[in-house]
Amino acid sequence: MPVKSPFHPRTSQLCESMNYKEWAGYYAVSSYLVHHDMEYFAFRNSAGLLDITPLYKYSVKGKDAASFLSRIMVKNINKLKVGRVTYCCWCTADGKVVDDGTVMRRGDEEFFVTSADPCFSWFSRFKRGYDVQLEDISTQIAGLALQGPTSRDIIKQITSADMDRLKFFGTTRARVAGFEINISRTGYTGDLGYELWVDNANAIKLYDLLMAEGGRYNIRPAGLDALDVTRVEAGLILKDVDYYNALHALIDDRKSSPYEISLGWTVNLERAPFNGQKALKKEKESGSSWTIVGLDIDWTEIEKLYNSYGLPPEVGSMAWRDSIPIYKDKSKKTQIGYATSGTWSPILKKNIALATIEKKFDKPGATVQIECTVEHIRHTVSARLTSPQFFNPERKKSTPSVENKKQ
Amino acid sequence: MNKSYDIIVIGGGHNGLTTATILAKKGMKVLLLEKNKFLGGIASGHEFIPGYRTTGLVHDTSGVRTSVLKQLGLEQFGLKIKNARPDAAILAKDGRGIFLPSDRNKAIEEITKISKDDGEAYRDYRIFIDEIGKFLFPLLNEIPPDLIQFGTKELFALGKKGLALKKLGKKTMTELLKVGPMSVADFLNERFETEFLKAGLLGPSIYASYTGPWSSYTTLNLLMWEVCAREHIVGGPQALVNALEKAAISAGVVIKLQSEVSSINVDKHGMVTGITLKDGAVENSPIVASSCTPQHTFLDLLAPNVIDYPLERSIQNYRSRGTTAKVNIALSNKVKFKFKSDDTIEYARTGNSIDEMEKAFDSVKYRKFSDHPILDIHVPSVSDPTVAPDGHSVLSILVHFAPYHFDAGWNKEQKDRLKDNVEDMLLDYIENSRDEIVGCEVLSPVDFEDQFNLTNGHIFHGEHAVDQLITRPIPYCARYDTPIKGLYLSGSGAHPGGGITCAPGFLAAERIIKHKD
Repeated sequence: MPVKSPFHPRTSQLCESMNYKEWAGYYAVSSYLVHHDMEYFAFRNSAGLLDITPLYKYSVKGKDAASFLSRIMVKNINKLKVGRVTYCCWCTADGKVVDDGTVMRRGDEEFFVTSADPCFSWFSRFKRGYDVQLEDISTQIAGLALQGPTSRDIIKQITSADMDRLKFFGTTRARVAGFEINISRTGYTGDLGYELWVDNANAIKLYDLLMAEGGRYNIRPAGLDALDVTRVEAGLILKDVDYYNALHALIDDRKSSPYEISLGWTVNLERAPFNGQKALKKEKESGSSWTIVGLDIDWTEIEKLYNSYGLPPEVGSMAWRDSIPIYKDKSKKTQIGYATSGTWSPILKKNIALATIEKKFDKPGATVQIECTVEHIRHTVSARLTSPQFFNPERKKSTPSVENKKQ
Repeated sequence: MNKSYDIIVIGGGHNGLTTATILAKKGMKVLLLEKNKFLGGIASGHEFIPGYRTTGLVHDTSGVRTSVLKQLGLEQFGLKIKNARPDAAILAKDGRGIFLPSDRNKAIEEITKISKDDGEAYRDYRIFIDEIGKFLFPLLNEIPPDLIQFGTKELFALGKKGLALKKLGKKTMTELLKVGPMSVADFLNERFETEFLKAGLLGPSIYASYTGPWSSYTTLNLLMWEVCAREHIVGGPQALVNALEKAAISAGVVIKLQSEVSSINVDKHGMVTGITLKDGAVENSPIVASSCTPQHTFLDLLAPNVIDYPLERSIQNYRSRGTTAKVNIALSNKVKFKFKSDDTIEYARTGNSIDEMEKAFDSVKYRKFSDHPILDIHVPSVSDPTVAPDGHSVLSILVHFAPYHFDAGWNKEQKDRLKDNVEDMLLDYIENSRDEIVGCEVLSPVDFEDQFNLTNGHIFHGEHAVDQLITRPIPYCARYDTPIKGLYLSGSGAHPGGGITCAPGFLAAERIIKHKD
């Protein structure tokens, strides 16, 4: 049976829909109201408050903490400055992705790592030879994501820490009403937003404070259904949906390299050896087989297709995560890949998807065909290849203190 | 790269010296680095009490490969080899014993004195050993076939092995395939009746291993030892080391003593660039041959991120649990074994019964040493009286079983206890009295590790378990080369394994030469 996060006494009171799912062994609210659209619009127009306690959390401390993490991660963590966060993934010796997450440097010898899958055992394998203390603090620390345009203003109400200076992917300690928390400017919505990390003991106090102060800024508790829409809009991939953990893949075909899941930018190849380096160097030279793209699915064609049956177009309001075939053209002779997740984007007014396609067919702007089933018959509609990052507002990276100086 | 040497050999044991000398004779510029003040590793002897010397920490030289010694030209450096295994005595607690001369007919005569049936069984046993030797001995003297990059060439090589096996004839082949996986106790019980004879014969199959007589596959270990036990060196292992040292110097090997390597250096392409010594000095070379244990080589000498996790895990899982201790005894008289009144016995083994040997092994499973250990005795003073004062003796005793992983911890108290156990056992078999013992030295597996970097004090650089013999030490580096370009394994942790053979050192050199050509 799932367990309750430290915020459960509050979130369960607010969850009118009783609509939960299981996330890493925790009860996680899918949507607080019967429909998630209010929560989605909170993320996009004011601020949504999401319980992210189920993420796995690790503390890495010690003289060799940075080189230890550099040996595990595809990114050179030695170069990460104190007070900065990086998003990256980690690989097997064959260069296949195990998981992705964030690494936060809280001190010279102090890091905080989050992951989607339990990784303690994996990280532990590489401790030999490093002066490092690795601790699984998943159940000691609770997490809240406050995401949306008014999130900064809300946090400013509860702490004197300088939120105007905290840059995108920065992290800081902050004092809040008599206790300390860690704030990182990170999130899974592709918008202005923060993640707050608090000791279990102070979790409820923090929640109450945010809800009280956030009232004026239209804060709203938000669930995973709304989050799923925003993460597709932002082009952020999800493990077990858009790719598989290489350690859990039943067959080799299900394993992916970072290059194949649009995380090539996180790889620092030329440096001291790290897990998967040899394989990744080879792949970088010889080229990858797959890539993740965005699909802008043609709305007019969907409309026409449904109209031909005498139906209005039907598009689910929830994000979906099925494997949908992608073809080169209408003939359906050549399947070039598959969509892994998608959604109707209320803010973009577009039907969008993330898809894994063969690299050789990745030509931005090109038109491909995506399967679309109407009245039990499989058709295709056109979709345009785009960057997976459909939504990327300027405010995501804005830093008022710097911008004010410029003026 | 600033290339100073063609190759650096880590470790000046008999295998390191062999690799270095063979390669130097091929014209390569070789640097050999030894941690200790002396060469030879556990093949070297030392003065353990003023006036008393051993001729080697280990003392069985019967498996030394004369073909290798010839290529090294050791005879010109004073090495004397006898082309027969040493005569040995098998001792029973009740004062009986069997003297087993290397001459087969004489041995049969001796055994017949105890049991006529066993005399005949021994004749058949020796014939069986001769037969299977035709197949096994070559396997233990060549670079093993590649089982990883399996292609037509490898299939052909394996096919040839299959043919060689078939050539043994239906009877011998099926017998070998039948008995190989058996426990040595079952194997000998099928053939012999005298309990202490069986115990004495099986000794070498379990020495230094993590097995007792009832463990499976121990017969294969016995057969391997039997087919290789063809020689012995006059003066023991130390005499081999002396000749090897002279040969190495004459071949132009640069030898540096008291030079402990702290790391093997690897560039960003995963290629060896040389080594760094404990004092910080760097020596460059595109090839490094490590005659250290596989674990010391990969886990201590290489930076942790240089080897991939699957390799690291495989090396960590390589079993190397030391189970042997050493007790050197100085005696103020000639050693007189109870069963034979003369004092010319140089090699003797105890065991007494299969059950007692199994019990001696049992203790290590529970991290204790045996209160009734098995003794593998060498009396070097018999053939070389200079190792002890006039009329005195040295007993070099390998004690089975005494674990590295020892609950009580190896301290002086425990060593004294082990010494007492060994003395008690010894006095069961010899006429000499306790008063004649001048002094004693006890070396535990921990001492072996401290002095010779033997991982967990294992004198064979890892157990001779079947899986660790087929691809020794592990599948990733079963043919001397390793996933690190330029790094080779050339010690007892490589094929065909531990003991004083010079075989791994020689075969590693051959592999290096092949790669260079």
